[in-house]
Amino acid sequence: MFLFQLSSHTNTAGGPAGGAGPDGLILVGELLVVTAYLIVAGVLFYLALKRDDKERRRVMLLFGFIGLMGGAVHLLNIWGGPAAGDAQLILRLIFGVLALIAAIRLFKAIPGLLAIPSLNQLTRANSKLQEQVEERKKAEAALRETQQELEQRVRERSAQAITANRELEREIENRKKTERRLISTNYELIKKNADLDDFVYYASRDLKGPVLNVAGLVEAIREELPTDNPELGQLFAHLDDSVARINRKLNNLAEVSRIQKPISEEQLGMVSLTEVLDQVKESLREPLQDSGALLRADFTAMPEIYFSRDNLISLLNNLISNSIKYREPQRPLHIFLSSELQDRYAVLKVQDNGIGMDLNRYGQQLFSLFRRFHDHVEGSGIGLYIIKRIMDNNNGKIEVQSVLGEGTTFLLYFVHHEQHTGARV
Amino acid sequence: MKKLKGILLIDDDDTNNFLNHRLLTRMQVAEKIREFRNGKQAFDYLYNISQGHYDTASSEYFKPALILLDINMPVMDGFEFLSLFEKLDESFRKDVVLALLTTSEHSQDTERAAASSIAYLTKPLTTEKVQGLLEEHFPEFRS
Repeated sequence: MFLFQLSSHTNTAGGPAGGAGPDGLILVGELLVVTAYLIVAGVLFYLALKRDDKERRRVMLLFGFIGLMGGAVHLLNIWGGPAAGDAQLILRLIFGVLALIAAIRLFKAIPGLLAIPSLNQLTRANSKLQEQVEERKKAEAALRETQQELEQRVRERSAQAITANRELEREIENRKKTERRLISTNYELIKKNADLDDFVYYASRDLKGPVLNVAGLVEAIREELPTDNPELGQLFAHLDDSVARINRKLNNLAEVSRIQKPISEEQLGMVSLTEVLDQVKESLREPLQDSGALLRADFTAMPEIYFSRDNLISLLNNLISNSIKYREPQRPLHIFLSSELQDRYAVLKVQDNGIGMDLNRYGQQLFSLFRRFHDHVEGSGIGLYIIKRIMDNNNGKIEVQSVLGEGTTFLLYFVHHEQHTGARV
Repeated sequence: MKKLKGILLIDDDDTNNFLNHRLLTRMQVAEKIREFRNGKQAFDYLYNISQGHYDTASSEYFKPALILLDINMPVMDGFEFLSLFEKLDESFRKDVVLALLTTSEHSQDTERAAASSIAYLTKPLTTEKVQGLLEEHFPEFRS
């Protein structure tokens, strides 16, 4: 293109250059200007080609175009000179208009160009950004620190939790062990109780034979010996008494072991209190007569009780025997039996005017096995124990009221059952 | 006074056998009395007699009219003896009276005795108890 311009210039230079000297200089100046314009336009186009942002590319292209137009106008100066025809003038006009259009277009690009930050702005923004980045980094560092702290705390807490958990597990394990120990202790106790029951039963059973033999042998010896020796008579009396006592104790033990056996359903039924009392009165006829006891009974409020007949006999037998044993010798013995319904209990009351007892002193041990509080009468210390066991075994209870010197009242509470049906209320 | 042909005492307690033997001898209620220390010995003896495996000339062997039986004994107890005895011939058993004689007043034992409908006596054996038993089971002793 430059060569063409040169050649075209040489071609056309003949006219004006041939005219005057300054014309040649003008031509060279024009040529330089065209060259500069074209170089500028080329650079701008090149830059527009390389730039990737739309705004600048457009501006570069417009500037390049204007440069190109400028170059073209100056080129027309070289080519045509002052003698150029109308065509040249028209071309100049077109180029000028095009350049103006481009320049006007350039105006439109101003806001876009203004929007493009300057290097200073960028630097400032950059430094600001860097500051922000720094701050972010600091914040991040602080955050990390906090996080680490938190993690540390979480770890510590977890460690604490794990420790606590282990302690808890140990505690649970300990409790389980204790529980197992308790269960085994309980089992042992049940077994020991059963062993004791068995022992009482077998001891009373197996000792009875030899004791009876001794009694029989004492009798046989008595028959073989002369009867006229008073000293022997005294010895035999003591021997008889001792043997009888052993025998009684064994019978008591046998009775204790008997009531410890659970009662079967068949033994339970509606039992008439009057009938049972008659039976007991019969078996206690002798002591009742000897003591001159006045025995009255009123079972109209509650004539029957759902219970084991044998047990009821044992209860009345023991209570009436007690009233006889612990009667006040200064006054005639009165025993009064009555029954009534109280809430869910059938209550049997045995009241006497005997010597009474100090419940504050003896109440705690009243129902203990082999506990005795008097020595003026023969007793085994099992009567009240048996009563208590019988009531306990049947979900009942026993209460005692007593005034020293005035008398004693025993209250037996039986679980109440509807008459005849046997259904529990 | 009439006498039973023979009485067997079955009890592991020698002293008790001795005392009962003495009592029965003094009461003069039996021609012969024999003691056994457990149910097995007594049953073997009775089995031999029921099968005729014995020396009829010997006074050691006799068929008892009454057997007094203890319950608690080693080797074979009273109830085991009873169940075996019931397997012997009806004809052999029909004129033999069995009575339990024991210290046990345990309802379990008395109920079993009642179930097998045999007499039940508690120790010690006395003249009155023997008299009552004889009157109840042997018409010849009723006055």
